[in-house]
Amino acid sequence: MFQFPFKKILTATAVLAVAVPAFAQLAGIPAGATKVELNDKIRENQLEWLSDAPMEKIKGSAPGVTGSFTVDPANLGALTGKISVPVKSMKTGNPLRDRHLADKDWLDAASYPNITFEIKKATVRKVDGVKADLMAEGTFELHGVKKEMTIPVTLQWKRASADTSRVPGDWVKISTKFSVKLSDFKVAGKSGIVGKKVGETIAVSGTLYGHTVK
Amino acid sequence: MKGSIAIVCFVLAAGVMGWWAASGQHAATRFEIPVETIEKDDFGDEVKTVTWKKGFELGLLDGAAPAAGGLVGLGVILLLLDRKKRG
Repeated sequence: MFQFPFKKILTATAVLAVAVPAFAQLAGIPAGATKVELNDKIRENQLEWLSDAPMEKIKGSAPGVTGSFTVDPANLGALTGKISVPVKSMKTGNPLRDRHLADKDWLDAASYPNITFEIKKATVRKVDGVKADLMAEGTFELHGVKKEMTIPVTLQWKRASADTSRVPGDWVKISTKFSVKLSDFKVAGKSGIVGKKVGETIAVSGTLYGHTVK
Repeated sequence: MKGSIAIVCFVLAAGVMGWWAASGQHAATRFEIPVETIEKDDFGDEVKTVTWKKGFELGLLDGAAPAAGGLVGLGVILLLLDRKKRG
């Protein structure tokens, strides 16, 4: 009589789950800790964000993203680094609203000029050639409040070639999509606005480009 | 005369609200409009880029509502004055 091979499937799944980290390295990229610096010459580093509230949907961007990270293509879990976004660079298309965004009631750019994410390590979810899906773990700091967060990122590597001659070194791209709850960072705004005109949660996405430096 | 001006005020108020409705129904006026473009990057992937271009999209709270409200108020006053004048 046919018996569904639950045990075999479970064993195979367990073996694969253990095996993924062992193969968690980018194909054809030399091993070793490598420093990567974001560089706008490859492409402008900016994040987009969206506040979706019942009364208003605000689309914004945050150019001027800077930072660097250290990545070992043979040990992606050891990813570390820091990405920084200047609050004053955030745009909504309305200069008055941009000023309010940087005001004391909101992000208080005078006291906390940057939003940062300090990556401490990563968990590898999937590696496909020179592309890896990771969960970057670290400290997100916004409005002077630090919170441990895990953010999904896709890291992609491009070896130095004639195509990449305008910026020396290998090129590395990081794409991400996550959300930030304003109350987690004590961003209260003016009374009654969050939840009506400003979303309680802000969706953030973007692609960042950097190059390897020695 | 006052009655005609009042009607013009009401029509203008409706026009302002129509303009607001047609320009995206934003709560706040936008002076720069985000333009999203999708193009291939050097990695061969399609990526979205946001650039800002000068523009004007009327907002409700800081533009359309005060303007339309003012026009309707003026129209009502003119209408009342007109009726009063006519006796």
